[in-house]
Amino acid sequence: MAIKGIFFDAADVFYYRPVPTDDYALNLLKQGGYATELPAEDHVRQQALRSQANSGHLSPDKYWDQFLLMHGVAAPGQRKALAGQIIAYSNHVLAIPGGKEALAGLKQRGFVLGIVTDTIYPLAWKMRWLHQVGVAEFIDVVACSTVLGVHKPDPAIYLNALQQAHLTPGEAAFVGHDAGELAGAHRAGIATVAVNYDPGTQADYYAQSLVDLLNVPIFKKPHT
Amino acid sequence: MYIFPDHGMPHDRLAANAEDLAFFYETHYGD
Repeated sequence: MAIKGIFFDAADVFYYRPVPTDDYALNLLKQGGYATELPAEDHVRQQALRSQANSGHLSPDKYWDQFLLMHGVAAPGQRKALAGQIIAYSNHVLAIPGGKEALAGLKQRGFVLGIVTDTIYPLAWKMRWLHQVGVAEFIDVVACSTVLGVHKPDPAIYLNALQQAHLTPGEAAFVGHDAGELAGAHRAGIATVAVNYDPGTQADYYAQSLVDLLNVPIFKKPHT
Repeated sequence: MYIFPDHGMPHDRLAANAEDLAFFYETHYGD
């Protein structure tokens, strides 16, 4: 079945931050003399908090407040100031070269283009970042974890993107860098394309860069 | 275990993207 729609992950596909937000937050804690390592039980709790935040059930302010509290930042004023710094850092994204050219080419070939994104931040922020890196104008549909209440690799978020695009799983592909997210797309019946991936990542196709997406066999032929 | 989506971007991956983009412009718009 011919591919008609292509859905993309956003972070580390179209934009990046100089260091992951987690590392930035841990550096702040280290500078302040706070704990950077957590006991095992708190680590599990932190993962649960992230999942809640990604599903839109916990605001970014509350997520980072709890994160900082777990790391021993007891003073509320200090937590508020540090959370503000972390969120401000999150808002500075840098473009990965080739995103605009790749999407312009794929759009010209007639594909419906979408974003399937996990975030703890509001969709409007995500769209602003995509705009800043020059790709928002090509996007037709967005499935966002904080809006839908589910996050990757839950097949439901990929299926929502399909529904918005009026496509079946066999008519779509997911482009991502994360092995778990690619596996989720595969479980939803969607073809997978890895880009900016770690060694060993499993996918149906691989692109060595964003503009190399234009050479992926299933993206060569425009749909009719 | 669920991994936070923001992993960071190794320099070699950025360089690969930049090199391929330069090649793209060279082959599509070069003299």
